[in-house]
Amino acid sequence: MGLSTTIATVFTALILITGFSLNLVIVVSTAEFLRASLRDGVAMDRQVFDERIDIEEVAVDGSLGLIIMNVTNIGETSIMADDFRLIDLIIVYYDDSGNMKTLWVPYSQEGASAPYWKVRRVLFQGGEGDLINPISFGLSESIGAWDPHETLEIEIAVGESLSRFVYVFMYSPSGGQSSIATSI
Amino acid sequence: MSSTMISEAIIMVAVIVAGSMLTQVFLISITRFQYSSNWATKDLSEKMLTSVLIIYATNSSSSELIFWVKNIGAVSLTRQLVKMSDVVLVGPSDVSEFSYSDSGSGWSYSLLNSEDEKWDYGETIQVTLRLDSQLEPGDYTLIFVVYNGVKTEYTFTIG
Repeated sequence: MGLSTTIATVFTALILITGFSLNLVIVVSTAEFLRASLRDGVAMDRQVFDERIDIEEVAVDGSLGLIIMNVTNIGETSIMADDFRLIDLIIVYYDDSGNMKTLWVPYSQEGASAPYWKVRRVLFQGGEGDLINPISFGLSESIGAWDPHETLEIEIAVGESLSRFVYVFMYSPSGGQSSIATSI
Repeated sequence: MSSTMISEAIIMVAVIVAGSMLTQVFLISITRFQYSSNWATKDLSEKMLTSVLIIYATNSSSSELIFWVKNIGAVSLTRQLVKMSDVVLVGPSDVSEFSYSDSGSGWSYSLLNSEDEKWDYGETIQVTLRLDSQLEPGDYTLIFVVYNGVKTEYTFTIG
């Protein structure tokens, strides 16, 4: 075998090895990227699946425009008190003049001016109490969590009188929904 | 003997040059392939992590709809990206497509529970859709499509 044949063979081998290595790097990096995305995607889906809420009772004072309701975390995951601002509350109601209105109510634990919704207290097994991850509301940030099986007593101030009936729709941060309707 | 060595040397140089050129072309092709592959993977990954949900829709007047869309994915959308979304309204008699517009026919939005300008996970936008015709009674389907093609649908009735 001549020198040129040897060099050609070495070059061919180098090209093949380099190509194979680069291909391997591409496949591995692509797989790693997809694996991370899939893992995050599954985690998000799991959160959507595990995060469920249920509005159990509602009481309405139509003249004051006030709605009090109990909502229980019936999912498998806790919702941090700091994330309560991510809970959506939409109400559909008739005002005193008989006009139907739809209102997205913002979360405001201070409850300075209506419309707002805020947590009055935390209930567990029918009584007041929050043993696990107790919720404490602060001015700048809140601590604690709304854990599974715990019930929040929520106050909704609409800012005007209500008549006939009220629909309340509530959505958890990951989109879990519960609704209730009541006559006035 | 001498002429054989010269021939061998010429062939060796030719093989080295050809091999180098081939290697260069091969490496360039592989790099381009890697770039395309990374781009496609990134795009797919972003789509997998993007998720939005229309939570409620209603009409606020005879030619205006409002609806609320929640970001339930891991991807944060900047104001520029949100504005690239499209709204499709399937009505009882026709289908219309709307782009973002601050005034006139089209849709605009406001971030409701955000602490910054980005539309992050769990946050909700209120979308106002201004139509160029009157809404007629019937069933409607709203489709909100974000910049990368991920969409959410909501069906409601106007009585």
